[in-house]
Amino acid sequence: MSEFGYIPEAPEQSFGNNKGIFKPKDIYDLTRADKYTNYGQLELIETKTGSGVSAIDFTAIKETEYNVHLLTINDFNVTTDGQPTGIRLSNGSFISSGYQWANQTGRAGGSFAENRSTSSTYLEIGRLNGNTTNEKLNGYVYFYNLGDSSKYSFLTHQTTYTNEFSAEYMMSFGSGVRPTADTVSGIRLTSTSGNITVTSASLYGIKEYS
Amino acid sequence: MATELQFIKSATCTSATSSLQVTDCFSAEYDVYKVILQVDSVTAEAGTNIRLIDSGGVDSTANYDNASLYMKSTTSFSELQGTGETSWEYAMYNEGSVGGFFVMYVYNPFDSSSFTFAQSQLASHYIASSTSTLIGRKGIFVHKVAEQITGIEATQSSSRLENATLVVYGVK
Repeated sequence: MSEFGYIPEAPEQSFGNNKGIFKPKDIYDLTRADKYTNYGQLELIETKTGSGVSAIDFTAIKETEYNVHLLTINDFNVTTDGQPTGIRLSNGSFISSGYQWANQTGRAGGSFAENRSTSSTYLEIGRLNGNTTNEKLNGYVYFYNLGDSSKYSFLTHQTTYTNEFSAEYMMSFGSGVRPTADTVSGIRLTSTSGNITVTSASLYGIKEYS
Repeated sequence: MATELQFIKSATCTSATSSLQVTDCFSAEYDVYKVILQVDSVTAEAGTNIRLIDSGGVDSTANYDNASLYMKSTTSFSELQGTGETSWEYAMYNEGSVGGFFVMYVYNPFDSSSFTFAQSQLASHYIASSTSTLIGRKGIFVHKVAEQITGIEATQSSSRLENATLVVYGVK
């Protein structure tokens, strides 16, 4: 009998190279061992929470395994009214310069606006965040090429939230880049001033697809 | 079964070409598809359009409408829209070899009684007056023919698509 109990018992199993007839338990065990081929699925890397912290850092992002990452953010709140939601990337240490982004925001009780920067200290994914109980941000961010040392690191985002103006409803979508070709090994969710509270932030990898 | 992203098919180029096609990727198995165009390098600055493939091959007739917002890090945003066009134009834009991504969700392509709808978002890069510039786009798209769509093509007017991958996932 092989380690995973499948028939026949001999062949070595690996992702992209499975042989034999599998029982449900074999598939379960091989999947947990990352040895069962199932292209394209979202794989949870880590979920984090934070209360009154300066940042939430993901420092084991498996950048050599995934070239597309997804970050979901549940109930992001700032302690200092009016601060943005931002992302910083790490290439060994977290970087606070040289980011570009271009976002469209829209307010339910105000105007829509173009927001952009070519020399930012962070990648913006929300602005005008509020600090009261119901002024919270939810949304998602896709990251691309973080582990490719020859490519720039890109992101796209879409967030929906209640802002600092009496929990006025607001949205943001857009793109960002760190126009430096190197390997990114960490993702920081933060703001520019004060602390943050986040019910949960989950980082996923999209399994290789080519 | 929980919601899942399932790989269906991909196509890759490693030398300059004007077209990257994924054929027979849409089926009755899924209603919603996620399409990623990853462009690692182009031989020169280039826009890439999207066309759909039906039983007659690539549809290059005037069946494509779109409405999009172009967002650059250096200048005011601009609207791009069109009706009765021969492709979904400038879905992607690139320059150099630093990469760029385009993600599109496609709805009901295989339903012969429905138009094919899509929405997309991109993050890419080009050089504007020697300045490295982020380019983003958020758009909505429709192919106004009620027919079965079986595949998708990334296409350019010139052969500048050098290293790129077009991938189709089904959304369960």
